[in-house]
Amino acid sequence: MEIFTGEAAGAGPPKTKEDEQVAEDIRYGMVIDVRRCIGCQSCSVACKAEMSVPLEVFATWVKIVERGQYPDAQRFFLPRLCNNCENAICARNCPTKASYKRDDGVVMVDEHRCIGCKYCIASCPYDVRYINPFKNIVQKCYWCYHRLDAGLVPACVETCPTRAMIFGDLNDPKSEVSRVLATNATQVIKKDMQTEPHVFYIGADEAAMSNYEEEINYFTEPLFFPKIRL
Amino acid sequence: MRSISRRDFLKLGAASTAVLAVESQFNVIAYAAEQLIEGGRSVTRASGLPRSFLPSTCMQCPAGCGIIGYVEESRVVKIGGNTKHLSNQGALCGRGQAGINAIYDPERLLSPMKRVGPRGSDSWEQISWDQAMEEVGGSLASLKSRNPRQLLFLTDDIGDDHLGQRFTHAFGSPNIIASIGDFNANKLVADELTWGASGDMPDVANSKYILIFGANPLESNPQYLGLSRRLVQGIRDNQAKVVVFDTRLTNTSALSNELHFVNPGSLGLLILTLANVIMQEGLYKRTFIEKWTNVTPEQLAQHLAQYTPERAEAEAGVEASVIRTVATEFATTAPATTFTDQVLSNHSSGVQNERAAMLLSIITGNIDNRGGLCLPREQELAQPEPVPAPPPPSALSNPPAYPLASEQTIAGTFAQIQSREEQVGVLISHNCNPAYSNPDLGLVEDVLKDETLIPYHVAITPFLTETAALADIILPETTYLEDSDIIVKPSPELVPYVSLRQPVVPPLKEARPFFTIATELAAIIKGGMEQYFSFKRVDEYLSARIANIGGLQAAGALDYLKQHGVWYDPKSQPDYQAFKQNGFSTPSGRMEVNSERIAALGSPALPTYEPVTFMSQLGEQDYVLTIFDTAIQSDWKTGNCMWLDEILHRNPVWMNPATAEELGVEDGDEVKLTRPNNVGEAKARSVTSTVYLTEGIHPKVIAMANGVGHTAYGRIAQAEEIPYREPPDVLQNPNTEMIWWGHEEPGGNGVNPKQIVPVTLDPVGGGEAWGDMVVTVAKV
Amino acid sequence: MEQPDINVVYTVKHQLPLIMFIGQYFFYTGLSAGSFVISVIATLLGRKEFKPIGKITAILAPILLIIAPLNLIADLEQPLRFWHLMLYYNWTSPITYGSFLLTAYPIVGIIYAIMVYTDRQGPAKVLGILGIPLAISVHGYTGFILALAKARSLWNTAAMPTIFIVSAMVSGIGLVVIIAAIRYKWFDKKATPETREQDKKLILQLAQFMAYTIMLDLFLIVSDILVLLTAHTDALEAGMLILTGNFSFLFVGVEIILGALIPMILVLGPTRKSLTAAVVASILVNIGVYAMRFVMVIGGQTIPLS
Ligand SMILES: Nc1nc2c(c(=O)[nH]1)N[C@H]1C(S)=C(S)[C@@H](COP(=O)(O)OP(=O)(O)OC[C@H]3O[C@@H](n4cnc5c(=O)[nH]c(N)nc54)[C@H](O)[C@@H]3O)O[C@H]1N2
Ligand SMILES: Nc1nc2c(c(=O)[nH]1)N[C@H]1C(S)=C(S)[C@@H](COP(=O)(O)OP(=O)(O)OC[C@H]3O[C@@H](n4cnc5c(=O)[nH]c(N)nc54)[C@H](O)[C@@H]3O)O[C@H]1N2
Ligand code: SF4
Ligand code: SF4
Ligand code: SF4
Ligand code: SF4
Ligand code: SF4
Ligand SMILES: [Mo]
Repeated sequence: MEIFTGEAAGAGPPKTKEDEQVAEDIRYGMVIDVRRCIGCQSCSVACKAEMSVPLEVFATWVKIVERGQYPDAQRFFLPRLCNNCENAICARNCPTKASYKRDDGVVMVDEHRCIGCKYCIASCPYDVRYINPFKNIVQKCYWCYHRLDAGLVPACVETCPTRAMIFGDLNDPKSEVSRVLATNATQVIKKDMQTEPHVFYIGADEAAMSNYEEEINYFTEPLFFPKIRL
Repeated sequence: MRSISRRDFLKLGAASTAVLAVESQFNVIAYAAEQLIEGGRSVTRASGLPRSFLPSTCMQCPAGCGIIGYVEESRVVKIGGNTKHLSNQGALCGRGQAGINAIYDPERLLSPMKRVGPRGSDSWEQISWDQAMEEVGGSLASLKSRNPRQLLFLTDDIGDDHLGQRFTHAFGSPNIIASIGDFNANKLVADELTWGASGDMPDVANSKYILIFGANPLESNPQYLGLSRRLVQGIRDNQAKVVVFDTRLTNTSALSNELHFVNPGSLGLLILTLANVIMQEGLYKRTFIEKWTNVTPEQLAQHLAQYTPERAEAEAGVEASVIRTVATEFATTAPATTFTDQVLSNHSSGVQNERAAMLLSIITGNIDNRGGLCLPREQELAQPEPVPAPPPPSALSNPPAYPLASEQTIAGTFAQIQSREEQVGVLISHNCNPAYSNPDLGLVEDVLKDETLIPYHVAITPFLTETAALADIILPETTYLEDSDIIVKPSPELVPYVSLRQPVVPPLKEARPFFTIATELAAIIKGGMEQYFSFKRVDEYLSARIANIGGLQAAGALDYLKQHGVWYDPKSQPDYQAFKQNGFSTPSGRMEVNSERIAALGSPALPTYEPVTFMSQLGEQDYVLTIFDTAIQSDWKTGNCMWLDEILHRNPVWMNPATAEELGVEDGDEVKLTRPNNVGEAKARSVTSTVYLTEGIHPKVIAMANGVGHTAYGRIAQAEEIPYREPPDVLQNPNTEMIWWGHEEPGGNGVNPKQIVPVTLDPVGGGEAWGDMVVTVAKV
Repeated sequence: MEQPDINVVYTVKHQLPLIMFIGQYFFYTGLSAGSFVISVIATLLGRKEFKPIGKITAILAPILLIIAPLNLIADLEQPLRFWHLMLYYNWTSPITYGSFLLTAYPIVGIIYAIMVYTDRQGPAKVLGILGIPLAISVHGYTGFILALAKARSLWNTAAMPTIFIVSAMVSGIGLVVIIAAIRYKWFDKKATPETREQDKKLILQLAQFMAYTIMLDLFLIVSDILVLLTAHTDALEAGMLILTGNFSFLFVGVEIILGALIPMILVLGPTRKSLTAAVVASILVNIGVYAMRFVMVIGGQTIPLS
C-alpha cells in the first residue's frame, strides 16, 4: 500500500548512490505551487505555533483575492512569507547588522542585537516583517532555521495538506525544488525590486501578486505616540 | 543534498520514541542540514533538541486525523501531523494545530461547578469532585430506580462517543442522541436505502471526472484533510476534470475547471436532468444497470424523460447546453464520480436529492470502482463484554414518524421535549453545544431553561459553552489532548484503519476524562450498571475495543497503537467492487434505485425531484440563506481557538452587487435578515450583520459563515472584555489578552445565523432541512 | 485610482513601522541644518548687523540637534540599545552614516557656537565651512533613509534627499525669522532706532530669502510628482495618494497652499514690508514643512505592499 502519492510535490525518485553526496554549499529555496493551494491557512497557523508568533502579527498568511464578474468570478490564493532574498534589502539597510544572511541564504534577525528601529520593515518590499509586541524587536519568517538545522523542513511545508510547498537546496540539482524549478515556469513577487527572492511561485495570479488594494487608512492608529506595549 | 523521499521516511519512521531517544547525534545542530524530512519530528527552537512526543487523534472536526503532540515540560507546545496516518498523512489543518489554544483556553473549566442563581444566570460555585459525583450520581441513581428511560444523553456530531452510548444503554435508556444525525441524516438514509451502507467515499484521487454538488471539500468536509488532499491529487496529478455546482464561489471551485451557479434548492432537478441526458443519449452502462440495480434502463429512461434540459434551464438556472455537455462528458469519461455532502441532503427533499446523485454514478457504472463512487470502508470495532442490551427505542430516540432514520436529530429532540410528547428526567450533555449549533436556538434555550421540561441538566464539558451555561452542574472534562479513545472513520484511502487517541499530557488540574467520570458514576449509580464499567484502567477498555482486529493484535495491539498512533494492514489494497462477489447489503442484494421502502412512506419510489415550494417561488424580496462552513473554523468547537478566530472572526452577509443594487445597500452597510412568516418556527425572527459584496454569489442567495458569533464560551470566542476568572498559571498566556478583533471597526465576533433557522425536517428521512432557509433583507 | 477588477477577500493588516517620532526627527534635523547654514552665512559675511542672528542660530542648531535624536531613540522598540548603532555599525545602511553624522555634527556645532559667542571669527569661519557639509549631510541622509527604502514608491525618488535639504532650509529660515522677530520685539534692549531699522530690514530680507527657497522647494516637489505620475504603477499610486487620496488635504491643502503659496504671497506680495506678515509666513512655512514630514513618513507607508 503506497501512501504519499502526491508525485508532483511528493516523494523524490528512488535513492541511488549518487544521491548520497552532499552538496558543498547549500542555498535554500522554496517553491509554492499555487495550483495545488487550497487556501486552507494551515501554513499560517503552523507558523504561529512553530515560531510563537503573537496575535496581531503574521510571518506568513495566505492572501485570497477574487476576480471577474458573476457568473465568471474566480478565486485565487497566494501564500505569503519572507522571500529570504538573495539580495536582502532589509539586511543591507539594517544599521546594526541584526538582520543578516546566513551562509545557506536564510535571512535572520539577531534578537539580542536588534534595536527595533524598524527600518528593515520600511525597507522590505514585501511587508513580511513585524514587531514582536512581547519582545519589542523585529521578526519575520526565518524558514524555521532551527528545523533546517535539525534536518527538518519548515513547519508550514510540513503541514501543507496538498504539498503545495516544496522546500530544499537550490544548489543541488537533484533536490526536489531544483527539479521543480527546472521543469516549471516560475514567478517571484516584485521581480523589479531586484531582491532576488528565494520563494518561487508556480501558477500564481499576477493580480494577486500585485499590491493592489485600497490604501491603508492609518489615521486611526496612534501616530504621534508609540503604542504602549505590555 | 540528498533529498529523502517520504517512503524512506516511513521506513525511518519505524523509529519511534525509543529510537529517537537513542539517536543522540540528532542533538548536534548539524548546521548544513544534509537531509530534510517531512513530518514526525520537532525540535525546540532554543536548543535544537528533539521534543518528546506522542501520537494521538485530532478531535477538532469529524475527520479524526492522526496527530503528534510535542511536549516540553509536560506542556503541549505543538501539534504536528502523524505521517503514518492514512487519512492526513502527516499534514494537519489549521484547526488541528490550534488544538493547543483549546487545551490552554484561559477560561477552561478545571473544577466542578454548581449553579447558584437561577438557570442561565451564570453564577456558579466551585465544588469538589466528591460533592459533584455524589450529587450527579445521586440524581441518576434515583432516576434509574424510577424510570431509566427518562435519561437523555446528547453528544457530539462526530460519532466517537461509544462510551456515552454504553453508559446510556447500561443505564437503561435508549435516548442517546448525537448531532451527527443533524448534518447529513437524509444522505445516510438515501445511501442506506440504495446500497445498504451509510455514506459513501468518492475515490477522487483516481478519478478522471468529478461532479461536485453543493459540497466544498477543499474547505470543509467530514473527512476534510484526507479528501481535500486526494481531490487535489485527482485534479493535479491525475488531471481529473472537476465541475462544481454551488450557489457560491468556494475554494473548491477555485481549483476546479468549471463552476456553475445553480438556483438554490434546485440541485435535485439539475442532477436528474443530467441523468436524463445520459439515458436519452444512450451513454449509460446497460449491463451494470441490468445486473446490479432493480430497474431497467427503459424504466429509468421513461421516468427521467420529464427532466428536460430546457426545464432545468428555466428552474435551476443552468443553461441547457451546459447540462448536455456535462452529462456527456461525465458519461464518457471513466472513471468518474459524483461528490456530495450534507448540503444536498439538507432540504425537505434531501433523501430524494441524494438518491438522484447516486443515480448518476449508477447509470454510468461508476460504483465502487477505482476512481468511482465507493462504499465507505471503516474498521469495525468490538464491543467490550458484557455488552449492555440496547433498550427498546423510544419516541425520543427513534421518532415513529421517521422509520428510515437511524436516529433522532437534536433539533427534533428539542421540539419533542417542548411539546411535552416525551418526558426527560435528567439531561446529560457531553461534547456538544446545541444551544449554539442547533437550528432555532430560541427553542433550545427555552427548553434548557425550563425546569419542568429538563429537571436536571448535567454538562460534561471542558468549556463553559452556551449549553453548559444552562446546566445545573458542570463536570469539567478533559479536552481530547488529555483523553483516550479508539477512533475509526471512513477511510479516504479505502483501506480501513484504527486510530488511537491517548493523553498527550496528563489532565490539567482537576479535569477528568469522560472514561473516569462514566466509570465512577456507574459505580455510584449501581443497579447492575457497574458491571458494564468494571474496567480497572482505560487501557482495558481500549484493548477490548480492538480485540477483534487480528492484524493489529499480531502487530502488538494497544502497545502498537500507543507507539504509532494508527494501524492499518500494510499489505491491504482497496478491495474495489467486492459487491461482485457478495452483492449489496440491501434486501434484494442489488442497488435499490426503485425503493419500495421509500414508496411505503408515500414518496416516489424512483429518484424524483420534489421542489421545495417556497424555494422555487421566491418572491422579489426573498433570498435563500446559505450557511456555510469554512476552512478556518469548525462549525462547532473551534470558537475558543485564538489563532483561528484571528483569521476568521466575523461572518458578514455575502451579497451579489446586483442584489445590493436592488436592495439599495452598499459594502459594509448593516442589513437585517428576517425570516418570513410562512417558513416554520424559530424564536428569533431576524439577525443583523454587515454586507460583504462579492461577485462570487448567486444573486438570489445570501450567505453567512458558520462557526462564529458565540454568546458564551469565553472571552476569546466572544471577542469581548468580559469579566473572567483569573486563569490559573497553567492557562496563562499573554496572547489571550490581545484579542484585537473585538475592537476593530466594525468590531466583534460575528453573529450566529442559526437563531433564525427554523426546525424543518425531511418528511422521509427525518433529517434536518436547514438548506430551505428563506429570508428577506432590509437595510437598517 | 480606478479599481481594477479585484476584490481582496483575505489579507492581513500590517504594522505601521515608522510613526511621527521619525517625522519629528526629520523636522528637527531640518530646522537645525537650516539654522546652522544661516548662522554660517552670517559669520562668513562677517557684517556686524548679521551678528545677533548668527549668534541665535549658532546656539539653535546644536540644541535642535540634540532634541532630534531623542525622537529617534524614543521611537526605537529597544531604546536602551541605541548604542548598538555605534558598536555594530553597518556601512551599507544609511542609518549608520546618520548615527556617525549625528555624533560629529553637534560636536562641530557646539565648538562653532563657542567660537561665535567668544567672537573668534577665524576659527568660527573655518568650523562653519567644515560644518556646512556636515549639516547638509545630516539632513540629506534623512532623505536617503526614505529614498533607499525602495519598496515605498513615495520615498524612492532621487529628488528625495534634495527635497529634504531644501525644505530644511525653508523651515530653518522660518524659525530664524520667528526668533529674530521675537528678539526684535521684546528682547532687543540696547538697540538704537537705527539698528532696529536695520534689524527689521534684515528679517524681511531673510523672509524673502525664504520665499525664494520655497520656490526652489516647490520646483523640486512638482518635478518629483510629475515623475511619480509618469513612472510605474506603484509610483502613480503614490502620486495619486497625495494628490487625491487620503493625504491630499495635508499635501495640497496644508503643505502646498498653506505652507508654501500663502507664505510666498505674504512675503513677496503687498505685505512684503510687514514684519507680522513675515512672522505669520514663517509660522505657516513651519506648519507646512511639518505636514510634509507627516505626508512623507506616514503617507509613504500607507501604500500597501502586499
Ligand atoms: N474545515 C472544516 N471542515 C469541516 C467542518 C468545518 O466547519 N470546517 N465541519 C465538519 C462538519 S461537522 C461537517 S457536517 C462537514 C460539512 O461539510 P459540507 O457537507 O461540505 O457542508 P458545507 O461546508 O456547509 O457546505 C458545502 C457547500 O454547499 C453550498 N450550498 C449550500 N446550500 C446550497 C444549495 O442550496 N445549492 C447548492 N448548489 N449549493 C449549496 C455551500 O455554499 C458550500 O459551499 O464538514 C466537516 N469538516
Ligand atoms: N443552520 C445550520 N445549523 C447547523 C449546521 C448548519 O450548517 N446550518 N451545521 C450542523 C452541523 S453539520 C453540526 S456537526 C452541528 C454541530 O453541533 P455540535 O456537535 O453541537 O457542535 P458544537 O456546538 O461545537 O459542540 C461541541 C462542543 O464540544 C466541546 N469541546 C470542544 N473541544 C473539546 C474537547 O477537546 N473535548 C471535549 N470533551 N469537548 C470539547 C465544546 O464545548 C464544544 O462547544 O451543528 C449543526 N447546525
Ligand atoms: S497549507 Fe498549503 S494548501 Fe493550505 S493555504 Fe498553505 S500553501 Fe495553501
Ligand atoms: S522578503 Fe523582505 S524581509 Fe525577507 S529577505 Fe527579502 S527584503 Fe528581507
Ligand atoms: S529593527 Fe532591528 S533588524 Fe530591523 S533594521 Fe532595525 S536593528 Fe535591524
Ligand atoms: S518557514 Fe517557518 S517561520 Fe517561515 S513561514 Fe513557514 S513556518 Fe513560519
Ligand atoms: S481535518 Fe479535522 S481532524 Fe484533521 S486536523 Fe483538521 S480539524 Fe483535525
Ligand atoms: Mo457536522
